Amino acid sequence: MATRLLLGVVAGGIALAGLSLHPLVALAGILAALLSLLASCARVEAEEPSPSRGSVWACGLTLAAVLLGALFLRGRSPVGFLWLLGPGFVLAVPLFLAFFARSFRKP
Amino acid sequence: MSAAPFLFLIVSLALALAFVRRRLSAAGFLAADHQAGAVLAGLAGTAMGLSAFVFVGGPALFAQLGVGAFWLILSAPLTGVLQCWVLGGFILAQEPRPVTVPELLAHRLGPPVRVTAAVLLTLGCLAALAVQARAVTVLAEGFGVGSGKLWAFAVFLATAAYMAAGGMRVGVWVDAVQGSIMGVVAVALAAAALLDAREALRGLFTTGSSWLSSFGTVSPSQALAWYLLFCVGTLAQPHYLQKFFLLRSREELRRLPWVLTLSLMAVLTVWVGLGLAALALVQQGQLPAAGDAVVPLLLQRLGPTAVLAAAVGCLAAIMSTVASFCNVLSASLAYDLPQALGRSRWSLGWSRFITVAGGLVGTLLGVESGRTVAFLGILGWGFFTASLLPGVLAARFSIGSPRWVLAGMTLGAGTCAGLELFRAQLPAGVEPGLLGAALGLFCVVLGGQGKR
Repeated sequence: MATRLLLGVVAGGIALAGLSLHPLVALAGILAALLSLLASCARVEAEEPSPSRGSVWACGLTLAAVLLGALFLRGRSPVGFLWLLGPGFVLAVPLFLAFFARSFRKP
Repeated sequence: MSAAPFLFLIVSLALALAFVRRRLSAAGFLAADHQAGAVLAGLAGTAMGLSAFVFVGGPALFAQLGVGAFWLILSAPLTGVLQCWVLGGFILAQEPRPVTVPELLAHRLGPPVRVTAAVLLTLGCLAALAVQARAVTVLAEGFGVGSGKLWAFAVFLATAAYMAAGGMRVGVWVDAVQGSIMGVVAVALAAAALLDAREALRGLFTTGSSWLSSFGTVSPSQALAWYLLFCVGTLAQPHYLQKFFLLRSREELRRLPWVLTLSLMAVLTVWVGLGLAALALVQQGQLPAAGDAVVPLLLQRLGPTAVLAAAVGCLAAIMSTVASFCNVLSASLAYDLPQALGRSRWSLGWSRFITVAGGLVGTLLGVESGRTVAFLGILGWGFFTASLLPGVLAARFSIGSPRWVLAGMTLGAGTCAGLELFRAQLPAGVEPGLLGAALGLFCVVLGGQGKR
């Protein structure tokens, strides 16, 4: 039931981002969809190999920081581009790779 | 240059001849016997997933929309990890190992879902092949290397020859080589373009142009919708999932995100490098604002070596994508549909025939009718996302009855295709692929659990 609920949140998040009524609503949709998807995996794989819930939150917080930062910097050039290129694109890589490495431990 | 298509054809025919007499199993033809390591599957997966749009269309979009175009690839650091975590482990844990997406769905959801998935994949693959063929004609004419139609048929025949002969047993190696070429070419082109445009770039960065704000000239809502579409969409693209069927073991899966992410980042440097240089040169009036043609103009400015390198990169990207779609199409029509309808014996000859015939139909659609391609073009990334994501997540998380999953996949596909027909009338930011996927997933989640 909980997994079904989480996937319902994924669907809701996708719908919010797909309708794009307001940037903040779309952003909330993205975070809801991706975090619920990761949480669903964490839940299903609770037996082995066990993913860290802290990693899920770290991943979510990074996403939130990058996307909120982009919204905050939308009128600023070229800082907005450098924000996306730096934290959003290049610096996010090691974090996400480390997230996978921690989440997918050797059984 | 006009002899180059024939040279390609000869090399590929030689490759095909080397494999045509081998006896291949379904797992060998469709999934390289599940024997690929992380590096091989990762490089091949990157090549299969990226089309020539990365080399030409993406940078041109950057020159037109500024940083707004960056949102199509901003999720790249996450997608490799997301695919591996959400689906990689699940696919590798299946016994017996599936070789196609419809077969993966059938493990939990039964033959009707397999038939639906195979039909949707067939439609999507034909559309994707047509779009690739159209891309070859446009690129050949843009680079001024001869008849676009001749190039389109040469590229298709060259790819179909080795894919029909050896399937993914050959395809995975050729794709991996092409992926490596794409990475090297992309980094070199990006560096050359940025160096050439450094003065213009200095001007662009110091004037504080709105093109370099975090959304460029795109509405934030639209940019955010693109982000999610190209992030979760990777979980539902058959040519993205194919690499997991090739993979040897869970041990290799642990290494796969590194290869996927790093190779993807290397190839995507061309998007930012060429795009940023083109944007700066257009803003400074050193290049005309010529839509998609701005990239060939920029390459010509960089010299004949850059044009040749870009042509090689585009060719590698198109051939690897065509190879993947030909294989998926063959799998749907010669493996999944017959098995779901009760014929258990797989035929290598029939698979080879479908690889060639299906690919030929897609290519003919692409080169003969721009109108058809414009219509079929809608059945692309968004269509696969809307139609397959509900089914893939239902199988992954064991939710939904087969009947509701089937309804969800059909609803998602129908919603996406229907809304795409009226895209011009839709409010900015409304994304048919995402809405279709959301409705389909709602259908799966709210429907009964049921039994097979």
